[in-house]
Amino acid sequence: MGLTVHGDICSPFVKIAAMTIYEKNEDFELVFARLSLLKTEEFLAKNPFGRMPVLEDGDLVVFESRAVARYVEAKFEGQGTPLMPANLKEQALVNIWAEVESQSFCPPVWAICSQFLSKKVPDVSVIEASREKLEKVLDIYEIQLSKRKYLAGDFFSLADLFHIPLLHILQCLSEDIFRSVINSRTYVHKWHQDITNRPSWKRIISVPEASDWSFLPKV
Amino acid sequence: MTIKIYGSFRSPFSMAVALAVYEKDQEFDLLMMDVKSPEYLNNFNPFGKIPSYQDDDITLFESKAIMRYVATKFADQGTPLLGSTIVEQALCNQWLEVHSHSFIPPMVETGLAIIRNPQQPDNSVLKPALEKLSNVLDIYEARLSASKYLAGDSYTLADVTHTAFFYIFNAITDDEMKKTITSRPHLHAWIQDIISRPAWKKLAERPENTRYKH
Repeated sequence: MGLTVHGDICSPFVKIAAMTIYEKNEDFELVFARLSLLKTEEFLAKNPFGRMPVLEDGDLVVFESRAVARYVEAKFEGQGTPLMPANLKEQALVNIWAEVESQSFCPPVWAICSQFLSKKVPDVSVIEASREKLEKVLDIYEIQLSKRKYLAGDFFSLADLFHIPLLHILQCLSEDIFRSVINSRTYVHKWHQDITNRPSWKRIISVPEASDWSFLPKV
Repeated sequence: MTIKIYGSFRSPFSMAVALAVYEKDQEFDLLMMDVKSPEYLNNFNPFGKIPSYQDDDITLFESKAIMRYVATKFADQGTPLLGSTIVEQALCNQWLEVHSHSFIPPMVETGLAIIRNPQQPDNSVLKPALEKLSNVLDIYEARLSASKYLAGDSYTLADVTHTAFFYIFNAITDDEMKKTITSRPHLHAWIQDIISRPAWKKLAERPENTRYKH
């Protein structure tokens, strides 16, 4: 019995789980769940917050994509790509930039994407306010990435991986905003080109469903 | 060098780091710096936030990253904080994420609504925030009725990161709002447990911790 991931591959958070599993040279069964299926008693028994992904590994059920990724890395430590360094200081840097992704990068990116995903008429003032926040955050990334190849050092880690699916959905929903915040920053742009070139990522976005959000209801 | 924490006991994020340090039987100096100053931005936290942490080996920011470092560096000392099995580690990480994404927003919204106007909080903000918080706390109640601590049988960073938030909530709420906690017996019991810990008591009694003394 292997790994099961409940969710929908179009979700950037499901992609975090999927990419981590692929980076460790493992595979998983995707059990499809979307929208109303997340509110069923069966799903809520796995994740009472009613969100995807949920990972099942034998008796263990884990939710929250970044926790799922950390579990996969720990379980398959020693195979595939090392995503968490053994050195304590390097680990700390990975954890810092993983938190920055979670606290400072994800919220404005998700606020922008939500406008395009769920509003018939995206609210320009919300988009602009979030974009301003995102620019300030990416100015700091630009300085970091001018000093080293990846966020935590000269090694790819979970900290970089956590950013990839959100960058992807932003680019798909608004190429304009993406270009102006990412491509305009030399080192951020270079980092983005590098991390999206990974075979594990290419495998995920090779399926059309990974980039199809048209089913979402708009109000 | 004694551990330095740049932060404030007005902030539950600073307190979480301080609690982790005490749980590992270490000491710290609590310091403050102008977070917008070039010195702070260049040497401690480019995002200009507290807490930051410094010891002989490293300077760090982001409270959860600092807590993880402290828990690992001093793994052999004090209370183990990372979970004793790979399952507990996974659940510790899960509840750390829950804290960030599901707990903090409604708890902070509730807290700010009260702190901004303690005598007469704006109910148009407070009421929905408290409702969202209550829904989240229902999930905590269910979890804690099945498990002694958030990650399982072991006290971990997942619990550490919550303590100060509930301590502050208790300090600023009236009897009616306290029922948000007391009406959930397992949640209430868990909070009583984590605030009874010697490390928390030591932190609560530090002289800098005057704001929420009640």
